[in-house]
Amino acid sequence: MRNVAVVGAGVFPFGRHHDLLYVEMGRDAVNDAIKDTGIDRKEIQSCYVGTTGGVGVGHEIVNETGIIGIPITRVENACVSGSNAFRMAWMDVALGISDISLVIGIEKMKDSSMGEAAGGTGRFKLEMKAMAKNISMASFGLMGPPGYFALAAHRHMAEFGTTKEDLASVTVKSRTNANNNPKAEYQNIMTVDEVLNDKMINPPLTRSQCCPKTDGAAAVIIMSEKLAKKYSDTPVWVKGSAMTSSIIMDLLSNLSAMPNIKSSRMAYDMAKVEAKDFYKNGFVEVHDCFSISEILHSEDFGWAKKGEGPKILNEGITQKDGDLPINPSGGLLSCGHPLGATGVRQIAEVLFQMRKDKEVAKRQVPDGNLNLALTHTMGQPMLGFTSCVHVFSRNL
Amino acid sequence: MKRHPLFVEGKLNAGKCNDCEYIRFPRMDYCNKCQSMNISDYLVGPKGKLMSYTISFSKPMVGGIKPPYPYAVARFDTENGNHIDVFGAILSQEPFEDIKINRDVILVSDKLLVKFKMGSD
Ligand SMILES: [Zn+2]
Repeated sequence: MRNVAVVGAGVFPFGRHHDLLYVEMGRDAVNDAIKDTGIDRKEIQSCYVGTTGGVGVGHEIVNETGIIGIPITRVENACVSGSNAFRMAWMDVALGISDISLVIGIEKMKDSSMGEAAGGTGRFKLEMKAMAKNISMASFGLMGPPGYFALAAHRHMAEFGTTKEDLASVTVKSRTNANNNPKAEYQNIMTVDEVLNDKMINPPLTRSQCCPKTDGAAAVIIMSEKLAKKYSDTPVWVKGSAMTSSIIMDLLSNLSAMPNIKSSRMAYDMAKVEAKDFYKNGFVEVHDCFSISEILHSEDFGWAKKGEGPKILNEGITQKDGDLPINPSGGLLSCGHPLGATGVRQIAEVLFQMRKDKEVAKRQVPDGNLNLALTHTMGQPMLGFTSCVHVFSRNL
Repeated sequence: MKRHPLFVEGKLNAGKCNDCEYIRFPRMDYCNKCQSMNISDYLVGPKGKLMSYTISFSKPMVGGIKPPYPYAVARFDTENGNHIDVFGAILSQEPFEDIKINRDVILVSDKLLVKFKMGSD
């Protein structure tokens, strides 16, 4: 397999874009990524589009950005769609089929079929209802993702003495970082009390401990080693990629999601790194769909002992200037979570951080933490989980 | 694959793998651990322990339970010190003060959903 690098990125601001079409958000992200890369658009040889609801939007975006004749592949994998699209593009370039590939992540959640889907309308509702009557759902399907993670949160509290203030502190950190991210949906600073007094969704999780449904788009351009060295002095190398799934909801049994453990260890092995190598050396963007999620991930990925996720949070280790910054962008909790866009936005954040781009000037992680990075999304709750992990480095 | 009933004789209708002994609920025709198709019926419960709960404020997609209602995961012992964790609704009245983690629960048979009651009888 060939070495592959991320060379350019563009992020369309996450938020409410009622008046914009998918193609209008995606077009800007793609044009920004092309400009950022410094290539001629004619050089792009393939395109992968991570989206759950954006049917046909890949072709529309490519049409409107003057990229002609290349294979365009839509990748749907719920919350993992963007990361999965990136992984397909990485395989494409690593295998030597394309030299330059464009990855788009895009979603409209506010007023699209995808947004409605969560509330349950139309055909999707019919499918969900059928699924709920199906045997697998009979054991865990009554509630959506917030309820499921609320159960994990209460169990973590009972087992390890985690407090609701610990949980709220995840949101406080997230908003503090997002306060320096003009492309996050929620940039307002919040206190622990404000988080706890927010509207209750599923106890113990209040609204600001749940990622919002958001509109957004992001694009990255990746290329072979030879071209990356030609076009960039600061390429970010893909060192590890892994994706696994489970068919049972194992998160409650030992407060670990097996696919997260498996994917992270596979990606670590491929990148020849260990969990501890991220300390004082790297930063990560993980799937903080809920406050408890970030705590569970910090344990499952091996950065904290089981039950000690709140400890590394409270010690400031996971702050933007701590030993291991987690979600310097503000993560899903504050950026919002347009399903297909999230995984690609995370990778754009890695590129911008590693090359100390002005895009992240106000939320730049320390120099010493720019050697190693990890991105992670997980999805398909209620059908088990899928987990996708990538490891990046500035050094080949 | 056929759908197996959730409950048999007031107990959870789980499946046990004859090859690796893994026990799984709901019962399916294959093993989630070793992918064997050699599965036997294995009944679990009715007494378990509440592992966690939350409250849902919206109507469930199926089952016709009126919100707000508590939703839970409960642990049931199987054999050789093993257990399975099962999700279900708790039958309780607001303000749900009887619901405490680690307390006993007992199964309530239902066609469509797993339901628990706090207590051991
Ligand atoms: Zn087996």
